[in-house]
Amino acid sequence: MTTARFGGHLRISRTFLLRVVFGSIGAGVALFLVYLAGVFGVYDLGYALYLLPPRGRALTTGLITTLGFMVVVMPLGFGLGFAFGWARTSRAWPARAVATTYVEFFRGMPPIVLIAFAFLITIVVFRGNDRIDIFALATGAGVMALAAHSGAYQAEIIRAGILSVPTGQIEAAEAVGMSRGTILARITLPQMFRISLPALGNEFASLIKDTSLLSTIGALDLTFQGKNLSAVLAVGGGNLDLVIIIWAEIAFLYFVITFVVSRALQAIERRFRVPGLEAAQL
Amino acid sequence: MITVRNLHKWFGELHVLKGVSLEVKKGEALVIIGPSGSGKSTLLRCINLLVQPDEGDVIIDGVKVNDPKIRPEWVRQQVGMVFQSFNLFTHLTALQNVMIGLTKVKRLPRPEAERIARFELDRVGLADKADAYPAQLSGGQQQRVAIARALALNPKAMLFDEPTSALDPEYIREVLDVMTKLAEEGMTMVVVTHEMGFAHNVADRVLFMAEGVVVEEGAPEEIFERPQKDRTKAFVGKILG
Amino acid sequence: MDARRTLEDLWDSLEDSPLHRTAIAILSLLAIAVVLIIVLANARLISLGFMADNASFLFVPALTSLAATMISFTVGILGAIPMGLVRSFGPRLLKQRGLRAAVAAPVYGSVTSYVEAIRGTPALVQIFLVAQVSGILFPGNPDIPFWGGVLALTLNTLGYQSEVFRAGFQSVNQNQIEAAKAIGMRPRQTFAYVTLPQGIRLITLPLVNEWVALFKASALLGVIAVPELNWAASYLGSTRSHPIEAFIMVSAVYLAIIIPLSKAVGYWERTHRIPGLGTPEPGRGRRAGVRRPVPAH
Repeated sequence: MTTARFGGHLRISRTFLLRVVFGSIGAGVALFLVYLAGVFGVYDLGYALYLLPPRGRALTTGLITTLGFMVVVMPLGFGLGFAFGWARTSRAWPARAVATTYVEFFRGMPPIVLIAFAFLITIVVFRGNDRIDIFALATGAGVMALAAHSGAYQAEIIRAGILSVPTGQIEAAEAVGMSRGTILARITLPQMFRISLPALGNEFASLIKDTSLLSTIGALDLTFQGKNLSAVLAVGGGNLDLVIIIWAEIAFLYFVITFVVSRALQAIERRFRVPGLEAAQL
Repeated sequence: MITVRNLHKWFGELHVLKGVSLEVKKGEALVIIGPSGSGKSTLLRCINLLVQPDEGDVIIDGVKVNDPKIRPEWVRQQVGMVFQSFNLFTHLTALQNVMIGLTKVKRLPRPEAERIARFELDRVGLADKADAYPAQLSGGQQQRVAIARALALNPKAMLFDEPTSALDPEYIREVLDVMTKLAEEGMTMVVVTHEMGFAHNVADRVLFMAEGVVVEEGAPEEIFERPQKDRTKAFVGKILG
Repeated sequence: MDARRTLEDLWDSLEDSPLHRTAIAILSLLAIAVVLIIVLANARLISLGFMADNASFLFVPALTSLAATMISFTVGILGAIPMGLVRSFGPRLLKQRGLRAAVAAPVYGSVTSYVEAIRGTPALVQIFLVAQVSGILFPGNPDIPFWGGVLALTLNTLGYQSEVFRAGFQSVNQNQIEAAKAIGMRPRQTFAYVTLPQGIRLITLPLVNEWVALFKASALLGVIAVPELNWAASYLGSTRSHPIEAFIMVSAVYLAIIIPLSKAVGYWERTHRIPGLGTPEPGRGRRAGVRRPVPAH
C-alpha cells in the first residue's frame, strides 16, 4: 500500500485521500448539475424548493409524522424483540415454543399484510362502537403489527447475540459465586449488546423504511403526503417532472433519516467497542 | 540460486523487513527460525512476489525478479510455495488441485497433466486419495496434496511457510518425512518452521531472524549448540528448554 | 410426568439434527395453527364455511403475486451479476493508475450511488414513483399497473441482489486466492477457476432470502391497483365482513410458500456448507455488513 508521508509524521493512505477527494468532487458536481438543470428549466426549481421542509407544509407534516412513528415503533419493536429473543433461549420449553411460533409467524408474513389486517380487523371488531376513536385505535393496531414484525427479526438477532456469549464465562462467573442476576447484568447483557449492535442497526434502518407502510392505512406520514400530492398530478396525464420532484424529495428525506440513524448507531457502536468482541462467525 | 539483497518492506507504519540479505545455493535446504512477528513469512512472500518488496533485490537463478518488467506469474512458476493453512482449493478434488496448475498455468494437455499429477500424488504417498475432496482428508494429507500441487509445476526451488504449524501432532511426522525426502533428492528449499528437530537434522544452514533483521546464520550445530549472539542464545534456550 | 419428559426431549432434539429440526419445526407450527383454527371455529368466532367458499377467490391473485416476483427476480439476477462484479472489483481498479481507473470511476460511482439509493429508500416510495411515471408515460394503458409494479420491483431487487453478488465474490477465502497466485495463475484465471465456483456456493442462501423478501414486497403492489394476493384478501375481508377469516387464508398462503422455502434452504446450507466458506448473511437478507448467518424469511 503506497502511503503519502507528510513531513514524516502524518501518514494517510493514498486510497483514502483519493476517495475523499473524488467523493466530494462527485457530490459537489452532482448537486451543481441538479441546480443547473433547475435554473435552465429542465424542471420546476421553484416548486421543488417550495415543497421542501420546513417551508412546504405537506412534507413537513409528513416528516414529523414519520419521525413520530419511528420514535414509537423502535422501542416497541426492541422491547418485543428482547423479550422474545430471550425467551427463545430459555430452558423452559413452553417459553421457547411460544417464542418460536411468534418469530416464525411474524417473520414469515409480509409486513404490509400484517398492518392491513390489524387495521381492518380492529375496524370491523369495533364497528358501531361510538365511545372510542376507532380510527386511532386501528392505526395503533397497525403500529403494533409493524412493531411485532420488526420485533421478530430483532428477537433472532438478540438470540444470536445471547448464544454468542461463551458459556465458559458464565461458568466462571458462577464459580466465583456471582448471583444469576449479577451474571445477567454484568456478563451476559454487556457482551450481547455489543455483539448484536451492528445487526440491530441494520434492522432499525429497515424499520424506518417500513414506517412508510403505515401510509396505506391512512397515517399522514411522508409517503402518504407523496401519494396525496401526486395523485392529482399523476392522473392528469402531464406533469411528469412534478411527480418526479415530489417522490425524489421524499426519497431523499427517507435516505437522510436512515443515514443519520445508521451513523448515530455506528458511532455508539464505536464508542462501546471492545477489541476482540465481534459478532460470531460460524 | 536464490539471493536476497538488502530487502525492506513496510506495512503502513510498520517496518517489517529491515534490510534482510540471504543466499541459498542450489540444492541447499535453508531453515529460518525466529519468534512470531519477526518477518519470516513476509520474507518468504517477497521471494515469490506475493508481497512486493519496497527496497532491495530478489535474484533467482541470476534473474532480478522484482524488476517491474518481469511478470510475477512467471516467477511463481519457478518457485513453489506451501502454506501453513494448506490453502487447497476446496471445490476441487486432490487430483484436480494438483492438475489445475498444469492445465491452466502451464497449458499442458489434460492427459499429460493427469499423468504428472498422479505421479506427484504418488510421490507424496497419496495416490489412492486422488478423488477425495480436501474436506475429506486429514490435515497431514491435505498438506501433502499441497506439496504435490507445488511440485507438479516442476519448480526450481520450494518455499515452505510453517507447513506443520496448523497440524495435529500425529500428522506432523508424515509431512516432515515428505520434506526430508525432497531435501535428500536435492530440492533447493527455504523453510520457515518451529520444528527444531527438522531444522537440526535436515537443514544445511539455519538462519535466525528477529524483528525484521537476520541476527545470525550458520550450520545447524553452530546455531543450536554454539549460538554467538545473545538474542539467538535466548531464543534457542527457550525453545530447547 | 413421562409425557412431559418426552415432549421436552422432542423439543430438545430440535437443537440437534438439522433434518429433524426442520421437519419438526414445520409440523409443530402446522399443528398449532390447526388447533387454533379448530378452537376458534368451535367458539363460533370464525367461519370455516366462509374460508372454504372463498378460497378460490384468492387463487388468481396469488399467481399474480408469484408471477410479479418471478419476473422481477430473474431479470434482477441478469443485471445484478455485472453490478456485483463492478462493486467488488471496482475499489481495486480504482487504485491502479491511468485509463483503467478513469473508466472505472464513473461506472463504479454510478452503480454504488444506485445501490445506496435503492437500499436507503422505502420500496413503497419506489413503487409509487415508478408506477406513476409509467402511468403518465403510457396513459390509459391497462397493463401499466402490473408492469409498472414489476419494473419497480426489478429495480428494487437489482439494488439488493448486486450486494449479494458483491459479497459472494469478495467472500471467497483470501487464502484460496493466495494459493492460486502462488501457482502462477493470472488474476483473470484466479477469478474464473477459484473465485467464481466458490462464489456461486456462497450466494445461494442470500439469493433465496432475497427472493422471499421480493415475494413479500410484491404485496405492496396492491396500492397501485394490481390485483395481487394481499389486495384480494383485504377486499374479501372488508367487503364480506369476515376479516379474520380472510387473514387466516392469506397467512396460510404466504406462510405455506415462505416458511418451507426458508427452512429448506437453511437445511441445505447447514448440510452442504464448505468449512471456511462462511456466508455473511444479514437479518432480513437485505443489508450487508452483518456477520452472522441468520436464515431469514
